[in-house]
Amino acid sequence: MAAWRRRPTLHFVAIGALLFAGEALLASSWGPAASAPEPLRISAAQVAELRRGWLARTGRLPDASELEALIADAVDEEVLVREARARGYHRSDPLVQRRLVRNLRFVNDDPQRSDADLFAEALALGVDRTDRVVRRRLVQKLELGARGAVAEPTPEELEAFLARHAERFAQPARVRLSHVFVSRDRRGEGAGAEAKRLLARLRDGSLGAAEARDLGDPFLHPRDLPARSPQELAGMFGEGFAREAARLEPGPWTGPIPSSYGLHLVRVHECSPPRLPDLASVRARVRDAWLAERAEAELAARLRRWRPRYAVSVEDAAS
Amino acid sequence: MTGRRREALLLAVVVACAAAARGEPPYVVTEEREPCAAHDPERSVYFGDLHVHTAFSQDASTQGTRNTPRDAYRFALGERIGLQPHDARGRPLRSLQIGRPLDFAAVTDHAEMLGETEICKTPGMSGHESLVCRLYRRFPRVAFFVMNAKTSKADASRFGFCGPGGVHCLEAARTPWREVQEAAEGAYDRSAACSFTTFIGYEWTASQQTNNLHRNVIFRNARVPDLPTSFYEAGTAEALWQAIGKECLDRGDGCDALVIPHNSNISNGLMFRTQRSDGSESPITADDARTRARFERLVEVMQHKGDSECRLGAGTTDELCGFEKLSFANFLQKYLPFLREPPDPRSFTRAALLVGLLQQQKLGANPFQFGLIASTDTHLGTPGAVEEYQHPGHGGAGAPASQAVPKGLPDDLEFNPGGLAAVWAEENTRDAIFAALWRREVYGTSGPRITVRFFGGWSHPANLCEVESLVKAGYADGVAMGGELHERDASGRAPVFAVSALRDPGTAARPGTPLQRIQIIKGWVGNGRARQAVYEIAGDPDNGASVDLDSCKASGPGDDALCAVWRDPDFDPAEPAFYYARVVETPTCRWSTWVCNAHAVDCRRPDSVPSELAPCCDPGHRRTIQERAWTSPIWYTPAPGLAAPEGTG
Repeated sequence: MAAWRRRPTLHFVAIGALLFAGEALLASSWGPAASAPEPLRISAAQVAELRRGWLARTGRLPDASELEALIADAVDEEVLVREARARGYHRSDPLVQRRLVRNLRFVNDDPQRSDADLFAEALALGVDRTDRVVRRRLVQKLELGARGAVAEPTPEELEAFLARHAERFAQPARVRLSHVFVSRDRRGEGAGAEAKRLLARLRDGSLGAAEARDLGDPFLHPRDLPARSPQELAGMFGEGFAREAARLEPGPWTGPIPSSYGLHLVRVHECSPPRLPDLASVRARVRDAWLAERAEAELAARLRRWRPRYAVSVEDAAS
Repeated sequence: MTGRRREALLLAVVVACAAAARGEPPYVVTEEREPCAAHDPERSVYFGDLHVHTAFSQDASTQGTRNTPRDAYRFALGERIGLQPHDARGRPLRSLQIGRPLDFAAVTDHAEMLGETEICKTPGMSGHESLVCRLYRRFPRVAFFVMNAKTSKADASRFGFCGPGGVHCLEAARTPWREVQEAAEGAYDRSAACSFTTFIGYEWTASQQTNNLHRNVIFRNARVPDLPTSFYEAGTAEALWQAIGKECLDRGDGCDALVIPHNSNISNGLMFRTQRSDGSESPITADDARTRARFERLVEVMQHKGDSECRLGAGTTDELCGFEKLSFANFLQKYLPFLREPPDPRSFTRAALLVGLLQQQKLGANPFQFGLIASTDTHLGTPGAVEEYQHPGHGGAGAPASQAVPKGLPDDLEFNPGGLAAVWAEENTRDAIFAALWRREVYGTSGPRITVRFFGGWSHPANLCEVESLVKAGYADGVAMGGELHERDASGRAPVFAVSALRDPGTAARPGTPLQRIQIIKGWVGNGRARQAVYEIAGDPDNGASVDLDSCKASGPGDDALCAVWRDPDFDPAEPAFYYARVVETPTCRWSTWVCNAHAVDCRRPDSVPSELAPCCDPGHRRTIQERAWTSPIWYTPAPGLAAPEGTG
């Protein structure tokens, strides 16, 4: 016991633990749950507005289940806005403040009034509860907050995520090819025959490298390409060409393969199949996708937790 | 060792490794990443969108846009994403997908995260009945401009409630800015596939009495300032460049940025001024011109809110200047039509390029030596959504769709889907693309993926289009688009230009449109006056190609490829000049025609046309479009040569 008293490190740990526990306690009771929250009432006017909105979107009135869904959505938005307000975001967020002060400045002639004064008046008038920009901003803050609350993924979690979404992160197949072009603009109907003639010459083995280089019509993209993915080839030659080229194996001159511009005789030098990359080379993308998925789940979970705190009533819209 | 020095050292190692791995790339490598599987020293073309708004822009979010920067990048990669409006369960009622992915994109949300909104103008929006809105409506329409005017003052001060040490303000701005950065990192392909590049950026949204001065800031890599510089911190373009200099370039850690103005067409002549904006109205100095040229190396020539290339009747008889023009000179005139007057001729890029030549003569420095790109300016989070046949309306200043799927036209008739930025780069990485943007070896298209090479030099042979080595010779014996030619041989020979273009291959479902013609636009200063001329150099403007307005089926001839070598027949070595190429497709249906046709609008029976589709039958309705590409210029400067602006690249 005496040893305990003489060790300041332990004191710090103990005090820290107490503070931590206290804050956790506070945090759990903080917000609407601490005091009885104002009942969440969806007025008849709001319901009528929802019905009008649906009518405008779809050209008919919502049926019972659709109206129920519309109301549930309105309740969720109100819950999120209130939770944000309970955390004081409407007071502390400068963008909300700027918006409210600007609103009040516009309708207020007295240029002498301070921002703080106008802001207080805006809150007193409840402008922050109805202003659409402010409401969106508050909901957005909660969304960003949920993202901030997700813990960093472990390497194992990232590996598993990568394996689960292999198609999103796969390294594409690549093919390195050379081609000889026969222009449709120049040859018209004769392009096919010309291509056949050139292919025979390329294959008979009598051409030197320089001669082979001069065969065919000029083309803006290079005759000898670096290893390209199907998507890159589609951008240069069109999708049809890219699809055909993907089927080729390394070997002698072949074709013709049609592109968006004419016919091509093609020689594939090497090709590599698609493969799943190492986590290291795609870590940032995998991490980001993982966090985005978790953040969405987190916000949904929070909403589920917050919803029961509110006594919800919906005024019957007799219309 | 400080963190910065450690980083600088690391950087040096990375640069050295990259250089050793495959020979020195002609640009500085500032980031650590896997080398690309495909690296082409003669460069490939990559298509992207450098102007994209998401739900983080308040003018987008209040129109119902829920797509985040992450969603925007998913969309650019080819995924189908939802669009507003949303039903009760948050399910989008519309969706969109581009036919093929983009190669690169930058989300550029407004730095002023709280943009102006039009809630009070729009019945049915929640908040419409708020006290403030009821008061707004006593001043119908004008409210919007008063609100805008409040943010249009150069001396707008920060609000006083940022908390001790400004902590709340900083925190609030940092969170979305961090999200923007994380989304960019999360979508950037650092693997050897090099399939997609993102850039961190934002839009600086200043205007003067609703005259548009907006600019996008694009960062080279992940090293960016702690916060974006908004209109509140920097009220003028000069202040913006200064802030970027201080908070980015001066850090010496590899942070680098470009500033790209857009919609000069609605700047009422103010985008390209030669007076300082510090209130003194004194003429800009050579230093001012060099600072501007350092940052503003590119301008958006076309986007959702119209074309900014040139205006018919403003010093030119170039009929292709009639392309996608707006009928107002600033936003005030958009909403108050009785104020409308034709856009100021000084608002257009061609005019500014000419003023640049005059300034060069006067100051010895050209403030307007910029290349051309295009982008969308989508407010739906849909980069690259440029297809005419499925234009959903881009929001922003266009028609909002937050409450209902638009029954008629989804956008203002004068607006359009916007265009793309094309860059010639060795590979699809941030450094390679940024270097291309810096070199101005870039061009803009009104949407299609037309491939264009443009080279200038003194000795290119006339048969360059007939040989396989056009590209090699183009680089070896001259300069590519964005470059500069200086007086070289005393013989006074005129410069030669080669333009070679391929039509957009399109997709299997929707093949691209054939090309009709290539033109070279020359601007020069003769006898102290700015002059311009348009030369037809390839194709046939009267080739008879047309499009059936009912079926949108094209007919008539057109070319898969066009190429021409052209020597300036009117060259005078004493006269400074610029040259750029314009590649024009055969006519197709404009987006509005697709919509009007989908609703079977019959303008011969006006009574049958519902009011929301009335614009279909407007006498000013342009039913067809000739999509096009504009290359960055090549400049010719008589000796003594231009002082090259300092910087990296």
